[in-house]
Amino acid sequence: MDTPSPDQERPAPFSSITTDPTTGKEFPEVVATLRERIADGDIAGIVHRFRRGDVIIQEGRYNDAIYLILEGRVHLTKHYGDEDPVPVGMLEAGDFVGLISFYSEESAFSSAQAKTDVITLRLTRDEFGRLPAAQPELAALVQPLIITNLAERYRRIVTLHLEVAALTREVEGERNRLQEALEELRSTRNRLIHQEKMAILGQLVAGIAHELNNPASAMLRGAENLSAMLPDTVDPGSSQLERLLLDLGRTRVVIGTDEQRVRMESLARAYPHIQRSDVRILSQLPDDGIAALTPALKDSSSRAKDRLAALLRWFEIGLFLRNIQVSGNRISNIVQSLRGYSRESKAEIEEVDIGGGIQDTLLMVANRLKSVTVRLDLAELPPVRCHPGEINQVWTNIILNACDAMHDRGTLKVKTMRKGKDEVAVTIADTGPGIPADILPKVFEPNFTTKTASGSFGLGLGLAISNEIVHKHGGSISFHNAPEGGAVCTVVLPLVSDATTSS
Amino acid sequence: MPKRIFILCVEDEPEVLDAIVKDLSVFEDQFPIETVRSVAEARAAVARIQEAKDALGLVLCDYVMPGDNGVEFLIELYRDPQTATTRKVLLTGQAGLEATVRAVNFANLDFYMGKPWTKEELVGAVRQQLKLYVIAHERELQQYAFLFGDREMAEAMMSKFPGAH
Repeated sequence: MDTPSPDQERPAPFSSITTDPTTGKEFPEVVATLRERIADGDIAGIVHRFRRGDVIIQEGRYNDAIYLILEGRVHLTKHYGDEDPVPVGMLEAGDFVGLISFYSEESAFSSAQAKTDVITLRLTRDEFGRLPAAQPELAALVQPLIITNLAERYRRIVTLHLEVAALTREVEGERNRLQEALEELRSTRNRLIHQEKMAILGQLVAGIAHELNNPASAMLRGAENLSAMLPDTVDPGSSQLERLLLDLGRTRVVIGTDEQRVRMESLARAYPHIQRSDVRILSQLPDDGIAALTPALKDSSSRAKDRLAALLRWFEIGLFLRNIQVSGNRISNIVQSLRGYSRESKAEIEEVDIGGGIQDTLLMVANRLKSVTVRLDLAELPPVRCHPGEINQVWTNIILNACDAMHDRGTLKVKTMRKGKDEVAVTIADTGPGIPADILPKVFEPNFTTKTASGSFGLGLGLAISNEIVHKHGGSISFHNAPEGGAVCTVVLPLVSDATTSS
Repeated sequence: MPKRIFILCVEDEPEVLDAIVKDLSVFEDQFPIETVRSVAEARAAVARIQEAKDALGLVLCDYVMPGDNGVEFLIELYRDPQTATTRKVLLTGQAGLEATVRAVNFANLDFYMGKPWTKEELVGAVRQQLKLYVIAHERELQQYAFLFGDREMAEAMMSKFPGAH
C-alpha cells in the first residue's frame, strides 16, 4: 500500500476551492454556487443579511442556529479575564458562524460581529433537521462544507499550537539574553563602583600621607635636636661616661630575646644586689658599655647605686630617643610609600619603576605579610610607561590573593625580569595549595570568588579588574600552578603600549 | 627561693616592647617581667616559668605577630589548667571584632587595651589585673599593700579568711 508523504499536496475531500475574481480570495466552489442561487425560492427563505457592526452571536448566550457566510467578513472576539474582548479569529465566505455552540448546545464560546455587510444562509435547529428530507440537494451542498470547516479549524488549532511553541522558545531565548545583559550590567556597575572607590581612596591616602609628613618630620627633627642639646642643658657638668651611655642608648642594637635572657642571668649572678629592672637595661648594653660601668656595678654603696641609676637613665634617654627616631623614620617610609603607591591617584601615564612600585605595595600590605617570608628578585629594568596607581592595584590584588591562599603564612616570591626587547615580566609565586584545575579558567571572571562572605570583604572583582588594567596597558596576566606547588601569577607589560603613547 | 609571679609581655616590635617594659617597671620589684617577641618564644617562657615552679600572673599580648597570633596563644593558656587563671590582657591596634570576641569567649580575656595607650591606662589596667590575681591566689596579701593599697588588701584578706578578723 502506498503511503502518501505528509507534505504531498492533496485535494480537499469534499469541496474544491475557487478564487473570487474581484477580491482574489479563495473560497469553496459551493459558496459560488450558492451565491448565484440566493434569489431562488428554495434558498431565499433562509438568507439572512447583517449590516456592518451587527452582533450575530453573543458570547455566553444560547445559540440555536448556524450561519454559512456567503459574503462579507465576521470577527470573533472573546472575553479574557477582566480585559476588553480579545480578537480570536476572522471568518469569511465559506466559513460557518455558531458551528460549535450549535452542535454542543452550550452557550456561545465567542462573540461574532459583522465586520462588513454580511450575507449568510441561516439554518435553525429545526430547519437543519429537516434539510436532508426537505431539500436534499442543498443538504448535499452544505454538509460536506461543515466537515471541511471543522477540519480547517482543527488544522488552525494545530498550527496555532506550533506557533505558540515557537513564540515560547523565542521568548525564552529573549529572556536568557536579557538575563545575560542584566548580569553584565551588574558586574560592570560593580566594577565602576570599585574603580571609583579606589580612586577616592587613592586621593584620601595621598592627602593623609601629605598630612602625616609634617608631624613626622617635626618628630624626627625634634628627637635629633634633643639628642644634641640634652647632655649640656640638663647636666652641664656631665662626664664622658654619661655621654657614652646616651650614645649607647641612641645606637642600641636590638638583641634577641634568648640572648637577652642569657645576659640578664649572668649579670644577675655577677651583681646580685642590682634590681631586675636595671639588670634588664644593663643586658642591652654592649660589652664596652658594661666594662665602662664595672666600677659602679661592683660598688654596692648607696652612693654608687645612685650613680649607676643615673647613668642607666642616660642610657634609657638615648634608647627612647633612638626609638622615636626609628619610629619616625618608619612613618616617613610609610608616607613615602603611600605617596608612591597612590601617586595622588591621577590617571596619568608616567615612566614607572616597576620594582619600586612592587616595594611600595609590599609595605602597604606589610600587615598581611608578618608571617610571610618575602623573597624579592628585582632585575634592573627600564622604566615602564603606565598608570602607576592602576599597576600598583594589580600588584596589591595578586599579593593579597596569594596571602589569602597561604592563610598569611608561607613564602612569597616576587621576581621581575626583562622579556625580549620591549617587555618586562613580573612573576608572583606563593606557597599556597595552588589553584584547582576547574577554577583556573574562571579566576578572571567578575564576581568569581572562593572567599565566603564572612572570610573576606572581597566582591570577587580583584582579578577581573587586574585583568582589565593589564590588558588596557597592552599586557597579559595569567596563572599557573608550579610543579613544586603553589600558584604563580605572571604579568607581562610592554615598555610602551598603544594605550600609553597618547596623553 | 619563694615562688615568683611573672608578667609576660609578648610583642614583636622591639621599640613597642621597650615602651611597655618602661611603663610596667613600677611592678618589677614584685612581679618580674619576661619579654618575648613571638608566640613561639612565649611558649618557651611559660615552660621555663612552670619548670621553675613559679607562677604566671599576667600576660600582656599583641595580636598580629609573625607566626601564631596573640589570641590563639591566649586561648592555649586558658586551656592549660596551670595558666587558666593567669590574667590575660590584649594590647593591640589591630584586633577586629571577630578576633576580640574569640579572645573573650575562648580565652576568658580580662582586658582589651588599644594602641596607642597612655601610661596611666596601661599601669592602671595591669595593677587592677595583678591585684585580682594575687587576691585569688596568694595567702599573704600584706606584702602587696604598697602596690594595691592597704585597705583593699586588708578587705580582701578579711573576705578571704573571715575567721582571721
